[in-house]
Amino acid sequence: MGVLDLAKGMGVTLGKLFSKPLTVSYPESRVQLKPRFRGRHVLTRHPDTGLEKCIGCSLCAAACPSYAIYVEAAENDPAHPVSPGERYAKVYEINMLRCIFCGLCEEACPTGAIILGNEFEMADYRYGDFVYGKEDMLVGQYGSRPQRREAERQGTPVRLGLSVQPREELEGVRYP
Amino acid sequence: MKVFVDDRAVEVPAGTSAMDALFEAGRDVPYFCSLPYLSPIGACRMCLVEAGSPRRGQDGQWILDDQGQPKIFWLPKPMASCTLAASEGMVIRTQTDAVRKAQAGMVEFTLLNHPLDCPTCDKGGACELQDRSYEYGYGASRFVFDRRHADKHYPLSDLVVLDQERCIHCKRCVRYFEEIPGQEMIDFIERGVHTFIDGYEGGLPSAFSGNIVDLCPVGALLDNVARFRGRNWEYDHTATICTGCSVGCSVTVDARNGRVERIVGRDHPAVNERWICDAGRFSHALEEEGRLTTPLLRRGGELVPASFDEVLAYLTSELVDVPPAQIGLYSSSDITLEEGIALEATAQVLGSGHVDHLPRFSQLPALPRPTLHQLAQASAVVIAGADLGAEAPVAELRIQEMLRGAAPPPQFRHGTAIADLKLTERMERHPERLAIFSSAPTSLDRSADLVVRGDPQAALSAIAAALEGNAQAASPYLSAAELLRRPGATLVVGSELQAAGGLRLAEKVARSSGAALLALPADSNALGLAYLRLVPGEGGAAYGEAILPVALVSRCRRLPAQWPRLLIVHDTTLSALAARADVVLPAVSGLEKQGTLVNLEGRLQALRPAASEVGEATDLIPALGLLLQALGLRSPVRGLISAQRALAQRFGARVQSLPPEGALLDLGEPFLAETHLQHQPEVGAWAAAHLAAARARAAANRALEVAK
Repeated sequence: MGVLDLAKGMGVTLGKLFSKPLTVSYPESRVQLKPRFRGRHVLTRHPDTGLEKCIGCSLCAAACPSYAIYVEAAENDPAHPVSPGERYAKVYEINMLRCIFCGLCEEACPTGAIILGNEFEMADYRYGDFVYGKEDMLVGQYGSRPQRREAERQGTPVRLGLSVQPREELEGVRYP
Repeated sequence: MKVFVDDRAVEVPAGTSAMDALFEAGRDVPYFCSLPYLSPIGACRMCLVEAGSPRRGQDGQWILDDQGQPKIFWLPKPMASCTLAASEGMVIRTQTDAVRKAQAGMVEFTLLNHPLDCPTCDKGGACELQDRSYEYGYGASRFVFDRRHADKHYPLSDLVVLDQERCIHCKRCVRYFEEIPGQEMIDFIERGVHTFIDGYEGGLPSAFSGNIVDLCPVGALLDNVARFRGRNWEYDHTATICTGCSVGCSVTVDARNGRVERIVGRDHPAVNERWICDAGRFSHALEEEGRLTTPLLRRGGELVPASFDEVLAYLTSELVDVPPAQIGLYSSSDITLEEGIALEATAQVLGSGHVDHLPRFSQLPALPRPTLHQLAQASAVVIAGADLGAEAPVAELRIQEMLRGAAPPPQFRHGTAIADLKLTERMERHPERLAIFSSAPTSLDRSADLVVRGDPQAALSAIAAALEGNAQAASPYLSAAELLRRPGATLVVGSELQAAGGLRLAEKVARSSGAALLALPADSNALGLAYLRLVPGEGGAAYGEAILPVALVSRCRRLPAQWPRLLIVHDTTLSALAARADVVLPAVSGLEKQGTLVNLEGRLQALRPAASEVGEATDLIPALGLLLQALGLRSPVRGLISAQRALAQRFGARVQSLPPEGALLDLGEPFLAETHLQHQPEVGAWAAAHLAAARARAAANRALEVAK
């Protein structure tokens, strides 16, 4: 190895010293996620009717390798259906501590109801608070439980530490 | 008879269908319409195979081919193997391209109008159509037009709902009603693609309607009580025995999250074949209502939840001055043999003769008991003082089988014959083989030629007289005597006759006619408990006969005539008796306990606990242990294992390792004692209560819909 090679290496180092840094000073500034990032699940609705896409078939729970999903189904009231068809999910729970965000639930879903979204800031204090229900995951709900709790305490809107262009299957989801 | 299936040769009895021959050879064909115990009709055309047979020439010798082998004359088209009789030297091909193409084409046809809403279908995961489509189908449909649309929520009754779109017209349910209970409830209406299943208005007035849910190969007929409660792979399945009546049907109990959601029938060729009654199927709806999960203790006049330690402290202080021999122990007759021997051991430790079980009868017949199989193959049956529909519903199905007069389906390596060619649709029934003598209408009256209303004991006396030749000509009693004289006839006696003490008369009739005698036990284990010393001993009082200082009563709903001063009740719910108790201990139901039951044939069968959440509820053995502990005593039977050891000593049988089909064992001499309580078995009332609870639960499933 000659002096020339050493100089080449040092040149790279010197060049980086004066270029713009890649580091994001999270959480002050937002992190730019890749479009196919797999974060907290979103339960989507049919955009035209507003009905839930989930029909409570439990196939996500069957596909889940970490047994994180629990579904209890019930029969729809034809006058005020929750979902199209006969059956809807009365209880839909995901234990976010168990979930490994592999996306198999999304692949198993026959109606495209469950989509892994982009939110990832779910750190919390109690085990029980990690079991997310329908009210935490239905489309239109922004932020994780601790984020919403914090926003309510401070009286400010939920602030997500991410920015991303959501995928088109995440119908109705708009991140700030 | 030798049959060649693909490359295998298999020996089958004459009269076997090609389907059973090829299953016997270890091959497989798809089928939707055939089912063990039902007639094969070839409706679904799925079981297509290529088949051919050698022929004999005019000289009676096989026609030979060029190689000198018998020449196979192939049938020109693929044949439905369920309706094709196997013949000597027949060659069946199940693996050729033509067969595969035919089967895959039939799957595609069957799926043409099937809605494929498997994710919302309760059958999904346990669906024959799903499985066969994966195994034999093309995996894709070429049908691009609109599918048939029909009513997706058509309630056939409160308990069974029909999805007309999913029906594939296999006709299993239609044939079941006609062939098994002999009640034609439903049929095909319209033709072709418009065909649908429907019945009379007002539901399915049959006590066996739930079986059509089990036998439907698709999700067309569904259990309305278990509707949407879980997917098939989420249930914990427990193979156990129904404790509703003394038949002891094999069932599978499905629980999810510690809650029993449904019960389905399980194949037991000797007992219930594969059918169960509606009361047994939907019994879980009542079992879960108002369950006790902790002990209750009376404090300040009110029953309040307490811990077992508090109950023990209370009993210890209350029982200080009570002589143990004055403590009464009473139990229902549906406890297991294990609980029964623990009860017997406890009574011996206490030195108490105040022991009894109820309901029970005063006597057991001394004649050998016929099995249900013998009942189904009897040449004639005379029923005296029994309503089988209320006392032993599935025995009624076995009598229907007797009236149909078919030989039992043959057993193969793959189980009961799937397509038994002896069975046909609308077989001739023989109502002249059945005679009924009872004071109230019974469910079998519709199937019998000879039905006599009146006192069954008087009727039996008249039959006994007729058997001795002292009867006037052409009376119904003479006809019944003629029936009983037939070789292989059976006399069935039930609660009405036995409660009135008519068993000795029945024995006399059976002895003089040569008929077998089937005396229906009063409850699911009343026969087994008769072989344990669970009757009042020397100076002992029957239930409610004397005012005792203390009594422990397990799962009896009957109120005593004389109340004990301190009442300990062991029950699943806060019954009218438990509401007046001083201590209530939570009990497990028959679905949740482990043990051994003896059914009406004397067959010992194992009971296994379903995966349901019972809190602190226990069976009778720990409840007895608590009582003894409060007295500072110790019983040799303190748990299931010591109970099994005690049973092994008593009966010489290891009840913990019974074969899956149970065992018919000689249990020795029964302990008999007169009972003055007029015990009426409550199976009929039990059934009514269970069905009411099941209807309520099914209605709750649909409550939202009704609100519209």
